[in-house]
Amino acid sequence: MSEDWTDGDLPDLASEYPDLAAVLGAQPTPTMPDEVWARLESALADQTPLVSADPAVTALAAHRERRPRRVMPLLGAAAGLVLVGVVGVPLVVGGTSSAPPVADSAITNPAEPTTLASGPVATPRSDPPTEPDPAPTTDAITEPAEPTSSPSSEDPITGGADVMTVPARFVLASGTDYSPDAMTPQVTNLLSTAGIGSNSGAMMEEVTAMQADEPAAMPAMVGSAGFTSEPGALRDCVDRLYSSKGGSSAGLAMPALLVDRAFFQGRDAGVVVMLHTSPGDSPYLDVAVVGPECSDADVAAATWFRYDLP
Amino acid sequence: MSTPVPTPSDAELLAAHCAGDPEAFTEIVRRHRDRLWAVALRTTGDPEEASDALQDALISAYRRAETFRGDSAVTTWLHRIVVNASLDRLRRRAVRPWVPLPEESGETGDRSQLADNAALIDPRDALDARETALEISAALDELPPDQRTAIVLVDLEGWSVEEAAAIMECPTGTVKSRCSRGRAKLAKRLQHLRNPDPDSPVTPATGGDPSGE
Repeated sequence: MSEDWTDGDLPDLASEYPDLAAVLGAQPTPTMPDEVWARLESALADQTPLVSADPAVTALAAHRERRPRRVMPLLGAAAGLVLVGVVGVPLVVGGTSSAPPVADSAITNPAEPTTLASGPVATPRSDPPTEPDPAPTTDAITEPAEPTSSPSSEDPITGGADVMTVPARFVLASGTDYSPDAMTPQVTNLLSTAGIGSNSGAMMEEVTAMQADEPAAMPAMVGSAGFTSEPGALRDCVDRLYSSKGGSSAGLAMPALLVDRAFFQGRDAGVVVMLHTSPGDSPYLDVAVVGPECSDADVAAATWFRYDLP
Repeated sequence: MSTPVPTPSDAELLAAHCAGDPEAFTEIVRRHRDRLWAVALRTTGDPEEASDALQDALISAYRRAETFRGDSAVTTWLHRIVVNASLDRLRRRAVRPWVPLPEESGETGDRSQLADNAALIDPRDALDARETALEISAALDELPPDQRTAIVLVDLEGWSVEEAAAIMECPTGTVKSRCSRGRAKLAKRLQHLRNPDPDSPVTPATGGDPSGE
């Protein structure tokens, strides 16, 4: 389910769910225990004041002028996304294919993408996820790249079918610690674990089979939290990953082949494997390594790998 | 007759903190301590995690006060940092308990199984206030973090959708969607607290299931 809200104002809880409002409303607001306050007060007292208390020194405006400008690298990352973000499996809404893919590798990445069967190293497409920061600056730019439009064509897999309701063929929690240098064998092993052949024909069979499945065949969610915790969140995540590569966010058309809740360079992450096909273009896999919540920031910071398929 | 000293605003206190006042930041926290605590506690669902998250958040805010641009209220900025720290704690906690592959565990379906666990709780016990609070906390804990945070901010802490969007750094439509889906799940999960008859579920006043699931 998309997170777009089209129903106007959010109803008051009391009018939408009176009983739930009564249950929640009866709960007193927690008050901070004294021991917690004492701990916080002590921790804050241990901090070094920002600058010496000289009334002649500082005003907030002056600090603003010389605060660290984190916006530039973020803008750089966003620009990179715009440049590489023109590949995507076309999303199909109401039987109409939109935002078909445009090859991107020639624009920003002269290196040839790795072929799964033989290539030694995959090609990372953006900076790896950064350490979670509890205090993001308000300068942080997390706007997704504008979708790139191009002439429409019918997706050979969905064939103009209705929007998919199953977001992924397989959802795993392998515990694998992925790394850029080992992505090729690790992704190959992931496909093998799920019983998917590492050629485009085998993968298309999986997608075709998935389309034939009823929504009830949705795989069990295996993560206790994050974007694999429930089908809607997983669907949103896959949809937004497609969108970040230039597709429409109007609805999920193409499910992911595989989603693996695992690690990337020691950090909690999701690995989303998506099959890309389009007329006149050799099929390939897009593999996104995304943060565990698949938030907008996670999607923007996702690391992408591309594998040509034999 | 003495002239009353005006109470400094949060923004003035933050400016004083940036100017080196060693007490100003603590005063801001003191003013909002219960609301900050409530958000951290309800988001993490655990007092220890909430305490740690709050300390992480406040120390980070203390050190990075200069990044505050003034385009939102100081309380909104502080809540944003606390929410992020709380969610970060949840992420770290979520890494640990991996569930086996579905084929190995024999699991089917989705989190509705968790809702079904409510049937194991004796409704008579749920009448106890503490038990009810634990039930609500458990139900919140079962929501995806983004939905939980939206519910906590809007429906429990009384922030407007616009304020919650500023805290969560997302569009207002996203907050509404998350609230709507979270409400639907909570209503189902907590129906036994208000409706002892399990065949008479709590339903939307206007009908329908906004969760779409």
